Amino acid sequence: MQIQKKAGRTQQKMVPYLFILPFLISYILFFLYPAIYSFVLSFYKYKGYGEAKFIGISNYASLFQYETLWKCLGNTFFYFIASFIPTMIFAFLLAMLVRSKLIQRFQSFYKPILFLPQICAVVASALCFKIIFGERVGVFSQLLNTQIPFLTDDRYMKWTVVILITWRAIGWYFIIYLSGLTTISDEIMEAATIDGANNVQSTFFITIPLMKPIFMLAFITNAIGSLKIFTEPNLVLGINYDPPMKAAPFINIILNNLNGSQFGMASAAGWILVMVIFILTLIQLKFFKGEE
Amino acid sequence: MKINDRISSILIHIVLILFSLLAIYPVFIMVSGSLKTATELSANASGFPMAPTLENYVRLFNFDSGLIVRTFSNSIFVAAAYSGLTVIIASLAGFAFAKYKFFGRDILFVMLLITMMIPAELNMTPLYLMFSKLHWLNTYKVQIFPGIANVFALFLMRQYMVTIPDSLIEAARIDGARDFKIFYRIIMPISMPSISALAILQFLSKWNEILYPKIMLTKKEIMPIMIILPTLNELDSARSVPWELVLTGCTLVTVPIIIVFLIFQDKFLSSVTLGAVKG
Repeated sequence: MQIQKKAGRTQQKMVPYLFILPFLISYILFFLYPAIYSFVLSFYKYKGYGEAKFIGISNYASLFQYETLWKCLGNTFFYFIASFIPTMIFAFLLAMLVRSKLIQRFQSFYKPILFLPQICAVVASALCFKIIFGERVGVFSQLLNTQIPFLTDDRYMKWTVVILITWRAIGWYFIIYLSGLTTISDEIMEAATIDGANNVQSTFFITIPLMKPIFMLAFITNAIGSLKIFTEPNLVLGINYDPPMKAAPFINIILNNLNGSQFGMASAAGWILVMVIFILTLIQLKFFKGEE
Repeated sequence: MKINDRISSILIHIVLILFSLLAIYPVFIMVSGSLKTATELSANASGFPMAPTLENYVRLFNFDSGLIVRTFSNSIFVAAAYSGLTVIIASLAGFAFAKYKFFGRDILFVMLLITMMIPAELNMTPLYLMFSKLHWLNTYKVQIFPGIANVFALFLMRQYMVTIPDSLIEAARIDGARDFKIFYRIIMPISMPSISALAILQFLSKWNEILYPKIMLTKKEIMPIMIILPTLNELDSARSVPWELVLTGCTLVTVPIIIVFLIFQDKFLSSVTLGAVKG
């Protein structure tokens, strides 16, 4: 009896481990082990067959000396910053407008429409934008009755990608801001109005400070997502994922090295991306903490 | 005051309608373009089709002996399996982290959260090497399994399950229910709002993925449709680019999702704020 009880208790102790086991196994196999492997690999020269050769930080050193890396990193930051600003401004503006008491009845009408671009597959919307900005068949070219080389001219090409990213992203952050706004109680806003605050004042002195945690989350997730951008520039500006170097995103460095069987180099490029994301997130956290 | 309200509400409507049109217009171009012939598209890409035709759809379905239907089904299957598995293992683990005390629980949880910042793109290289050695390239499992241990999903499930009162679990235990039974009879049904929103999010992320399958797959018949769509405009390149066919493919992957979205709007929209409100 005693032994049986003890066995039962040990069994009971095992229960939580059994629950986390499937997660943990897949995590180790498909995430932790590959991550460690890629870190080790980033210090080796390895072509996929034969012996891997330890070469210290050479992969990193040559990547940093490689002009293309800086160009692609610059492009990625351009796509990030240039889409970040309009996305956040328009998303917040739309959330404020949809939340407005004056048009409350229509909230459920506008919400799904403004979210619609998010529901379109990224590939489909990228190909569609390629047609919208196309030189000969393009919608703009037809409407304006001229041929504007949006997709090939240095001055415009990157902006077409920015427009696509912004078009897709606004709906997402609009919903996030809208749900954040609904957590601000009406009493606070009413109190502000009674105290004589106008709309602009109550937005800047009450709504925006109260929304700070939501902004922080939105900004950080947007930055991380933007640094990993791949589909949009590659499909809008390239055929078969080879946009001109002057518009290629950072992920292409990893992909090109991988395709060229430079596995050590591809791993090092991956870790550079991790470092960039890490630094950017720290800067943003510091910015939000410093505000307090 | 009343008149002022009137004017501002009209102004608000104008701005919102403008943005709504901007949101809809590319989708409109896609759908209307899929109903136009090549000649019409090259003259009229921006408006309604003058003589709508389903010819493009017939061409698309016959393309490469039914490749589009095949890859469309691949995409649905892979995204559904991936999403289902992710949600199940995240709920199991989330339940343990939320409702059990065990050795190493807190430290393990924090360690998992820290790795959340590491992008999945980092692992493309080692996974490619791993799977080529395991002969997993060009299979469904290579498309489904990596990424199912999703820390974000685990975190959300745990946060949700923590709020389930312990008394419910205790009551079931007194009735003689074992742990696993408690999980699928009580915890799962209560967590359904979270689970379904999470499943939608995971489904769409897999549905949209192109980088990873591009690396792991070379056989067309196993690929997701998203890899095939951009190649539609290259195949006929001897003639002019068949943009009407590309737009038809785009419509095919977009419209079904939009219809599902319009039916389950609330679920879709709550999947967006999963991380934002509770996290």
